[in-house]
Amino acid sequence: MSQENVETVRRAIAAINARDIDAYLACCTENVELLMPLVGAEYLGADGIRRFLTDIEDIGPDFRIEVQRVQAIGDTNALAFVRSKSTGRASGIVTGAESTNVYDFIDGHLLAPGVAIVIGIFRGLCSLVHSAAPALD
Amino acid sequence: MSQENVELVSGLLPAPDVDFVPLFREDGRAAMSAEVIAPLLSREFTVAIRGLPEGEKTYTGLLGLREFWLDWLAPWTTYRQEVERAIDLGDRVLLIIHDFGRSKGGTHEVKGETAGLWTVRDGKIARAEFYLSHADALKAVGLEE
Repeated sequence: MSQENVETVRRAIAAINARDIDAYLACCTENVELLMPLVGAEYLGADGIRRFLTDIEDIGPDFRIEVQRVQAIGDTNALAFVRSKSTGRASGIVTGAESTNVYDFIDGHLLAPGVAIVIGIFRGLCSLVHSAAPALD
Repeated sequence: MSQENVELVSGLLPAPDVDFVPLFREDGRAAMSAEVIAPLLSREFTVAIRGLPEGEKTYTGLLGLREFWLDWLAPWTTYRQEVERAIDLGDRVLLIIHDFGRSKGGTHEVKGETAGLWTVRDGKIARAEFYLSHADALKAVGLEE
């Protein structure tokens, strides 16, 4: 299960980079939450994730996340150490930040839809907490 | 594994430009932070401040973590931290920290120093001990300079 969780995290981040909302939501349950405590923002459910992708497009169209390492924490959690980079749409200034994403897989693939992965991103300019869940395949 | 512990502890500290005050004082943001960090704390998680005139003060659990920060941040209107270095001690990680804060009524940010000794058990954070000086923390782990 822990390796599956790591792969789910990698797929979710790749989907963000590809701006592929369907691929991202395929990693999530319906009650996905994306929480950003350092800026006080939260994105809830599929609509929230769509808004998140719209927001990062608005801020920096080339926003991209580079995964440095993903680490399983038991069977229900994972951490992703990432570096994000974007060029400001208005300013043209290139910014980068290191983040640590916390993913909480609540019973993973085993339960019915509604099961969630919580993903939290600390550190960096766009620190956030984030919930998603794996596809129930 | 010990390098992973260093990354875990270092990675969970907010970036140097993040003000801790609203993060812990505002209920909504504190709740969000708690939800994120909860999976990474062991059930017996404790926070302790060492070297206070009245001795050690200890806080327990996730609620204790916020209580600790509310006490710590009480004199400040802004507060942030920069990690100078992280020292790998196996199951423990010592963070040498520079602190920057503007006190209530103050007009300038002042600089201080603290250190955090973090214990990681089974991939989760079991204890955090904060020291009021780098020297005290280094002495506590046998690395007096």
